[in-house]
Amino acid sequence: MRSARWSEPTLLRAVSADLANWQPEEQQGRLCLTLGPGVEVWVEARRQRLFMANLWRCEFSCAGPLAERAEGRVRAHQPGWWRRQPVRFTGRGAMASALARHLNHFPNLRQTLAELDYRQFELRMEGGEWRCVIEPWAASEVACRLPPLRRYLRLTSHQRMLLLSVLKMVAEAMARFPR
Amino acid sequence: MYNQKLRAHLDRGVIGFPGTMASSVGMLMASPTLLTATSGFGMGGDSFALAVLLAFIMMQAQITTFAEAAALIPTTGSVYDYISCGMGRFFAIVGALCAYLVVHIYAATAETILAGVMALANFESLLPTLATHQDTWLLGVAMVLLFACLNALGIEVFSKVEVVLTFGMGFTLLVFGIGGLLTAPAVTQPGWFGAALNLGDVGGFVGYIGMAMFLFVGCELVTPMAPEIKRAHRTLPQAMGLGLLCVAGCLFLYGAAMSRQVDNVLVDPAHGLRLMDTPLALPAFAYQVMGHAGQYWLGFGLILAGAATINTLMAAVPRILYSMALDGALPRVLTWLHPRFKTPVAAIALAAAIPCLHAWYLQGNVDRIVPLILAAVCAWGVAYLLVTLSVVLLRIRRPDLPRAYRSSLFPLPQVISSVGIIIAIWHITPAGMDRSAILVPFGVMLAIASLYALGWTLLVQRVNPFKPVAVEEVVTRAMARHPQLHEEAPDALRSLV
Repeated sequence: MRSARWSEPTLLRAVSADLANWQPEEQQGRLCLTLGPGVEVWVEARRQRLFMANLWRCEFSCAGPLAERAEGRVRAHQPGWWRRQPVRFTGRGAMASALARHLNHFPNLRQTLAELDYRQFELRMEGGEWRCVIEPWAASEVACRLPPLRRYLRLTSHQRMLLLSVLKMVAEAMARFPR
Repeated sequence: MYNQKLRAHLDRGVIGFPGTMASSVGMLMASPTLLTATSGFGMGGDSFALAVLLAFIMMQAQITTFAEAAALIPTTGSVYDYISCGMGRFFAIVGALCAYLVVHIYAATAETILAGVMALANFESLLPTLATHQDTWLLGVAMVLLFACLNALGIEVFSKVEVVLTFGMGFTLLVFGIGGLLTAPAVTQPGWFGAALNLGDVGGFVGYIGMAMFLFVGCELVTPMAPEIKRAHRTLPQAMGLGLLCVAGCLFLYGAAMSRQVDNVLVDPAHGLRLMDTPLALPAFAYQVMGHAGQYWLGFGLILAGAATINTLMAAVPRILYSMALDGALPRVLTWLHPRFKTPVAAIALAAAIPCLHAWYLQGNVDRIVPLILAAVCAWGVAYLLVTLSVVLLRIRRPDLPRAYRSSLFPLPQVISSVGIIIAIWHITPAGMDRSAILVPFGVMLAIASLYALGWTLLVQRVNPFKPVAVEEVVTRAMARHPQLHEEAPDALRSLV
């Protein structure tokens, strides 16, 4: 899914309003909020150009250092085409597989991610750092030419709680990741 | 204060002139349009060409009304909001249902049946089973179901499919249009477009205008984009006007090419049916231009045209129904989203069921296609009349409102378009067609829409159905798209273990 980073003040203003109780700060066209000691969440707007439509959506990310250099990518697999089942983490390569197995040991994380309405989840290890990116369905805006409409999907309080919980849990799980 | 807010709202648009024009033209080119144009030029020749010109002038007058309404009330609610402010919610629901749902019942059914007919006309040898059993319409039903499923997966799939379909269709029509004019003429005709001009039969000529109107209706579907368009008060009327001009140019090109290449022979003496009254005229035209290869190519092009239109309908109509349901004009069940893909599946299912069940009820009867198209014109006409009346009433009742675009020579364009539409609806029946085949089903649908609107406003919304809504109220609601949350305490986040 190709998309480009996009500074969309209107969208970020709307997302900022949805996150008002976390008091996000705007820094260089991004939003930043703190979940706890050492857990910062960054919000970036991205635009995906489609034929006769544009999607403006937000990526929520958090990052942290790894004890040793490692490469790999963990994805979330969500079975069920109608109702979402609990998530199962998968990874390619020795390090990513080990991390996926580690994450699968946390049922709260798997359950919370399953309840969240999201488009994309990715946990990447690269250059001595891990970075988790989640793109929720909400906090996005669709502008269609045909059918002509523009609608912002609000990040509701429940979805916001789920989203931030997942990011916080990922940060905690990464701190416990065995070397 | 309100004026400043409205100006700021209009200034935040991002879509430019090309995008606006492409959107206004995008809904016009489709299989029923080609069949209507072929049939019209075959029946009327130069008389039909004159009818196309008059319908073009009427539509140019009509778009000034839509542009004024869109600049005054720049909301995605479009027709519903314009009529709400002008005449109240009862007429708004009737107008919106006529403009979108009733039109869909007729035009989408015609498109569904035609998709199969076009396949049969061009690939008869490839579809012997369907042809034998006269079940070609099932192909159209299959297309509707396919594109409904694709659209249920999300708008990204729709957009990718639409690129391929639109490119294939547009390229094909361009090649054959130019090819038909460059190829040496196969038929000598008295007029540029077939039969010579004949204004002796006034009733028949006005009937042609009704048919010709169908070739242009739909360009106003761009008006809900007003909040997204750069300087909408200028871009909208220019884009719609130029879009209509391009379509008229293409139609004249197509009519001239067709009449030069296809001999409009009598194919069914018992019913007086001529070649250009049937879909068989298109493969005959393609053969003249490019031989058998051309037949297959145009055949694929027409299937692509049908697929593109069905795909667009399956994307547009459910989301319009979804928006209307969100605004409380339709039952809330239509706002239901797929739990995983977040698409309005209830509205998509309804939009797909309508043409499928209607085509099944008609058993794909080709003879019913032109009455269906003309019934759709009636529905569009009623919606246009209600919008025009609303704009006129607002000018009289609220001259103080800020109008970034004002229809020039008011009320002349409104009178021209309204009188033209009323005359066209009154004389909608072409020669040889039963008047009741068009007006009775349309009248029944209009009555059902009116009963629904009355019941919904009185029993569900519990409002005065005929009290106009304040323009400021509608526009302010549309501008407040990002409600503020008033929560102080941070969320209680879940723990890892």
